[in-house]
Amino acid sequence: MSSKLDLRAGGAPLVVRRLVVRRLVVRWLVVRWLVAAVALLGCAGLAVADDADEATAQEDRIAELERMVAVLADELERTRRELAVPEDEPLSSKFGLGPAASKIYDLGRGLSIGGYGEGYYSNLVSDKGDGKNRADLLRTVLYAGYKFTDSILFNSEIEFEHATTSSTESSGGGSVSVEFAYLDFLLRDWANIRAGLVLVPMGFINEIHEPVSYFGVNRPEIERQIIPSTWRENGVGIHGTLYEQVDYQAFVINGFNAEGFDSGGLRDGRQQGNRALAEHLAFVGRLDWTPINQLLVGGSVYHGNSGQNQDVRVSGAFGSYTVEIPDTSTTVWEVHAQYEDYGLHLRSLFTMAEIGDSGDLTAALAPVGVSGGTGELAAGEAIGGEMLGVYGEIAYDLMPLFFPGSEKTLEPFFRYSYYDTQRDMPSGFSADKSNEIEIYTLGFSFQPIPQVVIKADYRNRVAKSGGLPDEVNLGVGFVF
Amino acid sequence: MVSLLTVFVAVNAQGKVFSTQSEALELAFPDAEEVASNTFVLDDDQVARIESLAKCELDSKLVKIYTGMRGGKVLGYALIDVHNVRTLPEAFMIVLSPTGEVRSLRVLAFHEPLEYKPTDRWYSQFNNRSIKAPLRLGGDVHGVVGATLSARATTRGVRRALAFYEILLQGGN
Repeated sequence: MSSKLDLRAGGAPLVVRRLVVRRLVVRWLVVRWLVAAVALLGCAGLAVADDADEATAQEDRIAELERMVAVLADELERTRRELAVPEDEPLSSKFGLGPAASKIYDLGRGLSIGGYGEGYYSNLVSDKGDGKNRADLLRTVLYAGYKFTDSILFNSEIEFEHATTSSTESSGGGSVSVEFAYLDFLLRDWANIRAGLVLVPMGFINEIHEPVSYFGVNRPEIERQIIPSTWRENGVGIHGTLYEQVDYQAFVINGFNAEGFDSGGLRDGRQQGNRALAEHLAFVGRLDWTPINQLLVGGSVYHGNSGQNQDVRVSGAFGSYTVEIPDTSTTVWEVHAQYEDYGLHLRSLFTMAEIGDSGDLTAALAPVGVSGGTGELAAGEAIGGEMLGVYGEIAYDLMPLFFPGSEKTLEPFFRYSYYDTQRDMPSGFSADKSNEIEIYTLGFSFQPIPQVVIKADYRNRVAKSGGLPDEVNLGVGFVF
Repeated sequence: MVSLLTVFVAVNAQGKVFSTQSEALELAFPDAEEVASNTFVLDDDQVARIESLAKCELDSKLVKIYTGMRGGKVLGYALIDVHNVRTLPEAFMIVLSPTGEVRSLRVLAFHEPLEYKPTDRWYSQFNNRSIKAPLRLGGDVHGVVGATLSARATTRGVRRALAFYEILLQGGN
């Protein structure tokens, strides 16, 4: 063993050899330690580099997950908001859609809320007379519908007119009315049943009267005086669509109450669902044909007696007597057409009303006392046997010319209206020519979004006899 | 990979056997052997580009697109658009050709009163339209008397679907 050491030490003394060996061992250990340390450091360095990449990747993943969580949170928030209105089944994803989007597939029933409103400022600019400029919150309306099942639903419209029912120093009180409230029984596309307080399906405006759906601050006068919008009565009927092109409606409703007729038209003969006299029923039917998407052509007819079997007892200083209201056969019919294409809008309506027994009715409603009537009419006032109204309008959307692709609309329009509520008079009575009126309306509608409209127009009203003030009208309206 | 993740995340990409799909998808792809689906979670940049192209705001950042396949070839794409008409929703499935034209539009659900629903013929006017068309109600899209809000909502839905196709499937700018 020592010889070996000697050979390595080169023949040095034993102590020296031991020192050398010890030194060599130490060096070897140091080198080994250094190598190990370097190796460890190297490994550590590599590990540090790997960890850095991993950390970056993790940060990216976390950032992405955070973004996704934010999106999902948005979706859940939207779900919660939408759940505030409709009743619904517990949400679950369908078709891979988010829960909010999927709820439509579960929505077998639910409450539907909608509405519209309109207000205006009217400035009388000529023939002002005793008229006053007015600003009015004309209508605030809530629609409420409830879907009981896929085939049975309820729909209603509740309207607040003139902001308050209280009278003020400036005006009488407004009103709150249910304008329609009916049950629909949906059976087939071509045959469904509707019952309740229904809108009488005549003309354009009576059924569709949100402010975004017609031009002008005021509804067309023809569809107020001869078709007395909003005309609603209690009734039952059927409606449906045939061959994708023809829509029909047919109802039996309570008739007018002829006691409300006057020289200006049928408007006050509406019973409006309020304990309506139903001694005389009426029929109303409507057909609309849409041969192409751009064109709508249609017509409707209403027929029924309006007397309601009434014997009106009148008492006063002159004594008392009974007035029998005649049966008063009443027929109203109209034809209408609308064409819309590439921003052009054309609409026209023609209507007539025939009032049977108009002479007897005038006598029955004449002033009390000597005239022997109920007093509904003023002295000399008479109910026309025939009424006629017609209007035509044209509008064009200018917005695409200036801002192609914009959803805003800017539509100047012009409407000509003519109506005469005493076109034909019963024998012995003469027409009051102040009831024969032409109206020229020029204005525009601007819709910044589809649900909101800003309107302005000038109405030049010309009566055959007497003066009517012209108006500058400004209005706003909305629907949701 | 990271950059891809920032562009979109396919949180669920799976092929499905056609026979297990809904009636709507069967009608969308009657000849398909397989209908794959991809759900996209949109980032802000995509939302901005899609809204610009569709000319309307998105109310969701989740989009699911179905792809009808046969023999490895794409037959078309389908999307379901759900939007409120008044307060209740309408849902339609729009089917696009591989080149991005509307092949069909089918209403799946309509929960407003049916008198506000346009006719099937009205919906069919979108057939063969692409993102190149203005698709403006009252312009190249005819209106509907009494169903303006429904028609407007549907027109927007079609524009959204075409913009999804352009941005998500074609990578358009």
